[in-house]
Amino acid sequence: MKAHFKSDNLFRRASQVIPGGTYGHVTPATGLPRHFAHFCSSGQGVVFQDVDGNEWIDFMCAYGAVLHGYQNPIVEEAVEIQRQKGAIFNHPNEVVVELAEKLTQTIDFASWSVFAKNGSDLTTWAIRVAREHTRRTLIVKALGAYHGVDAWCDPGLGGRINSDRSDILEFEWNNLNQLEDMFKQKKDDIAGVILTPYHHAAFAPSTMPSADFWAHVRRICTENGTLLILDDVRAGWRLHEGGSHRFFNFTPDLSVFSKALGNGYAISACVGMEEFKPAASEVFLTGSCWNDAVAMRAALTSLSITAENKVSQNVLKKGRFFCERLESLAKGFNYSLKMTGPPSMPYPWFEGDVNLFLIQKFCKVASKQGLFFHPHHNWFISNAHDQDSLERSLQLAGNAFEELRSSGL
Amino acid sequence: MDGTSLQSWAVARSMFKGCMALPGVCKKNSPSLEPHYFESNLLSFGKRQEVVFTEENILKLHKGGWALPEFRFWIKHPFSAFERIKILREFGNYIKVKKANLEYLLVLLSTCVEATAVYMNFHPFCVALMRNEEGPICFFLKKNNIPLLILSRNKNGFWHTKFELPKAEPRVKLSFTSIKAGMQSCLEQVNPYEATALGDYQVEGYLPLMDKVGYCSRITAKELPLFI
Repeated sequence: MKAHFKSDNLFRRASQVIPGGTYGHVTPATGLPRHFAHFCSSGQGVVFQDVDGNEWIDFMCAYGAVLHGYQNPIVEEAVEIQRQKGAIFNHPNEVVVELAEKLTQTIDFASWSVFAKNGSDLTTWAIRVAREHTRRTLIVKALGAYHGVDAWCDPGLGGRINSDRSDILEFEWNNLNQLEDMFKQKKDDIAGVILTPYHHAAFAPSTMPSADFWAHVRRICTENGTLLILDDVRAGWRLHEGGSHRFFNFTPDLSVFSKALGNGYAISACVGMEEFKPAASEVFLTGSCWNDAVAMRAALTSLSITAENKVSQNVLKKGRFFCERLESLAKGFNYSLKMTGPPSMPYPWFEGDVNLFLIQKFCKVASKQGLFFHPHHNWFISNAHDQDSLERSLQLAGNAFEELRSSGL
Repeated sequence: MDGTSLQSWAVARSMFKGCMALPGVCKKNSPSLEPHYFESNLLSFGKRQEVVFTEENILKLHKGGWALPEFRFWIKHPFSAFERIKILREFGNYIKVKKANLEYLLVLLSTCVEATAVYMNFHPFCVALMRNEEGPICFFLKKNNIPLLILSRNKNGFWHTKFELPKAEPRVKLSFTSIKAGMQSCLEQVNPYEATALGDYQVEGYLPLMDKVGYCSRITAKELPLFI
């Protein structure tokens, strides 16, 4: 186990002044609290340091927010220039127009964009746009899918009231009959269907869409005058440079992006078809710091790097190499490991490990090797992962499998 | 089940499980104190209806007040009623002492987790939360391989605690790193997120299930705090 004296002390201080110490997806309770650090101090490329000075090879990329590596020099240089001019003003900076233009050029179906800070800001706004456009109430989502922190969808347990989800319908991912039935019963009430490009629930293997899934969903939505909203917050730019719908060959009505969009600078965007622009302009949207020129400059620069370097294709290729080698390594130790989901954001799943004891143990022993492998969340490959770092990680993962085997699990 | 019935049933069940965990009681041939509802508003410790309390009186006992069992019942079987009352009193006295030892932790844990189990069976929010969940959840002390207590569904689908080793693999293992940590956890003296982060206890296995159980336990503790 790595040293975590400072981490623990900082956490104790945090607990005095922050409910739960830290919260949300970074709460230690959802990871491996005695093996992972509670606080980070710095990062560069694919490596980050915790407050105790331990160095980690990263496979979470700030939960997907970092696509080009920590402190990417091109992004940081552009950001620094903007920072010297200022970030927040009484009026938006011209960079907002540049970014909206860039997104409408990048996303094939988009004719407009709006911006906020967090994925949730805009998944919630997008369902309201669907309601405004259709004058209907109900929203359909996939069971167990994460769309943010708002009351209609958050995975927490506290603060709920019955009406929070009374207008939300859920169907099992890939169960098209169930979706069809919902529309048969409620078609005049369903404003929108919001889905992620593939099913990436936590604590469970990822599920790709069945061959006809997206064509079918698109058809149902079109036939019923329902908006199809793609929540591309997590997968955006890791599957296709033009948005994840291109990877799966369909066209949504609205798409929401965040995470990798700003390479670590807080920004989210919703893009949409021309037809929905009037509704979009009716639904109130604002935040004092949302017209953040620094984050927008980061996003613009990040989008340019992604397009120029075919980053989505690269991370898929790098992920494929890593996943195949890791699976094969596991097999050599008699473990049946399947890296589920797309290779640029794989979720590790040991066959039969429904209660997660084996993956937890593997990630614990991997942490001793300095590998930041999360046992309950999909991992992320960044474009800063190069052949050397991947080879080195596989070598360390081999050591981890060896320890796992010798522990008798 | 209305609020009073739920609370009194949870208190009765937790007293029963706490008594079963008392040093000596679980081993010797003690009379069963398993509570049963009969008539409206009346709860009996044991099937023969020797020791019967009204729901209101059960709640008085929970708050540390005095409450007598219903005279018309215990007078029919005074000797066996006395045996049961003695164990209940022993439990009441024992749990107030707060001894930092394994036996005490077991009594406290059984008492608290069984109350939570009742809430998971009958509190509307908890029932909805636990609807699709299965156990078992095993509670351990340090790295001991034998669980202190198991929380699981019985053959009728009701959540309950037991001491016997489960046949099924646990879905969740919760290990207290010390007796003190276990006691503080039962007494709701620690924030679960902080306790996990700092290693006061370790949770392994299917964490979302433990999240739900933990949330139900906090609802239970809020409505039925331990007055010790």
